[in-house]
Amino acid sequence: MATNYAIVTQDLTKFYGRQRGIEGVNLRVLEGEVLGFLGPNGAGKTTTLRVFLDLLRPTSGSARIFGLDTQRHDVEIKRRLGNIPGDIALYESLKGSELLDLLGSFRGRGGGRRIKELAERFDLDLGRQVRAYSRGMKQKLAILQAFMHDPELLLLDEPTLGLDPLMQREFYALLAEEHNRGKTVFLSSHILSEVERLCGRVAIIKEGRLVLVDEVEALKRRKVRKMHIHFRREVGKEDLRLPGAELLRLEGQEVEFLMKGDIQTLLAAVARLPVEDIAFPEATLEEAFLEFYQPAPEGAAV
Amino acid sequence: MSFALLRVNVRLSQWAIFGWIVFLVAYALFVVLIYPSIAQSTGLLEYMKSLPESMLGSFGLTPEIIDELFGKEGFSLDGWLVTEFLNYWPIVVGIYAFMFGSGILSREADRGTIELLLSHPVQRYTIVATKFVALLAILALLLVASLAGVLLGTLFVEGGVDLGRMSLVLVQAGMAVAAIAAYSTLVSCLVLDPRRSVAIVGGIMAASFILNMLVPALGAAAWLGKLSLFYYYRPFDVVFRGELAASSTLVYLGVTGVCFLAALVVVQRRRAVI
Repeated sequence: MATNYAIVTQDLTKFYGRQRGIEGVNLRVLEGEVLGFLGPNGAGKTTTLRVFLDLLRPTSGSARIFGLDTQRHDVEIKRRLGNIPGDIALYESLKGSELLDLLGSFRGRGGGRRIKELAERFDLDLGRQVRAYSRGMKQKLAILQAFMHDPELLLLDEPTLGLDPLMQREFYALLAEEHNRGKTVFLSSHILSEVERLCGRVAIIKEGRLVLVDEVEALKRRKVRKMHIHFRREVGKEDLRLPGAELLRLEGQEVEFLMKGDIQTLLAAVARLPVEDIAFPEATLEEAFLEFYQPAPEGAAV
Repeated sequence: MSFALLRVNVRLSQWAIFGWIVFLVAYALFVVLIYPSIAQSTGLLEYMKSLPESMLGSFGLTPEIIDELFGKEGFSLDGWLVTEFLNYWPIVVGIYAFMFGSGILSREADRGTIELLLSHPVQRYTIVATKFVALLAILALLLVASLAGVLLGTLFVEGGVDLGRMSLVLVQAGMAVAAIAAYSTLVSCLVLDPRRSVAIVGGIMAASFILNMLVPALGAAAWLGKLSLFYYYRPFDVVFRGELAASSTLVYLGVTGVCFLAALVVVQRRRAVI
């Protein structure tokens, strides 16, 4: 059976004058998959998304969405996608409902029932002026405008920015539902836990180049994790030589390890020590990137 | 064209439109209401006739026009309105047109709202075309408000105005402002920075105005005046002859059409709209 791709880029390159945006990006996103797009600020994530939307035209190479060229068929493509921009700018003087009416009009219909459902789900009052909205409410409005027409492809740039944890959970649930309905999601995010939770594969971009495209499970194995232990009493350094862990910090009864190996063996070794409390803090973006940003693997592009 | 976007653009400008309507009606009323105090003044006629021709020319006046302005029964209301109100109308309303026009694309790009609009299935040129039509609609509203101000004023003074000729002058003034709006729109599509586009368009408009003022003093280089859009605005000719000069109409419609179409081509071909 032929593989269907929602997004295919070929040597996609965008320079701003002499300044590099992205260079030689080769990426394939399968229809129905949720792909995480990771990279630090300035790596080229937003540039890539803007090329997909034909807000920017590539210097060379091409991007095709649903088999259509993003430059020549942008309107046809946009009929089938929903986008949440990273830095959402809205018309402050309009009411939420008026803004959605305007954006819905470009599709020939307002999607009234879907809007009502989503507004209730995210507890957003569409009768208020956008300028009266908090950051989180604006983000909810951005979610509504991206999902209101039931698109086949979702381009999401930091979609949970400003949402409270409850709403974040609701958004994750919505995304999971959409995924189950066969929708394709291209998720650009800084939140590693979000990407882990939602995505099947991830693509990592560094200095405009794609350095890794891999399954999330494989990514997890590469991910740096830390372990904090508070001991009941001080423990000697020789006792802290644990299998699959590297001692990072030792301050009295407080110890921090970098976890690298098999967790079963490590926990068995830790269990022999006088542990008062143990914690596994989420790897920060910086920690994860330190690991990912080792020399790029050969043939990273898919 | 998108009617929803047109409606939203007019709606977003509603307070500015309201302010301009109040200003133009008040301006027209003021000019009409002070008319009785100067209608029979002979001092004004003598003063105007004493001015050098080059200076009169700067205001679009000639000794023949002055004679027609005053006629046998003193300064006519039509003439007074053209001298003090309609003569400056394209400059005053032109300021609104260039401020709006020079931000048509650049302000959307600067604020980031262009990304929101273009995330949906709409052509780039549709956004520019719709916003330009919204601007024309607003200008038409200001034109009607100006005429209403004049008519309102005539209720309080003796002697009426020739409504047909006043309307014709306003049509020519409207065409001049539409041309300003069109080149402002073009600059907005060429330069995505709203501050730069305002500076460029404002500079062109000021230079154009000054150039037209200087025409009588330019001598052999007077042809340079033809580069100014204001050169083709001939309110005195319209009000006294009762017809629009074909050359003015052609220039204004030509500039409007060419700049508008060029703006659509530019925005569609731009490599970046953000």
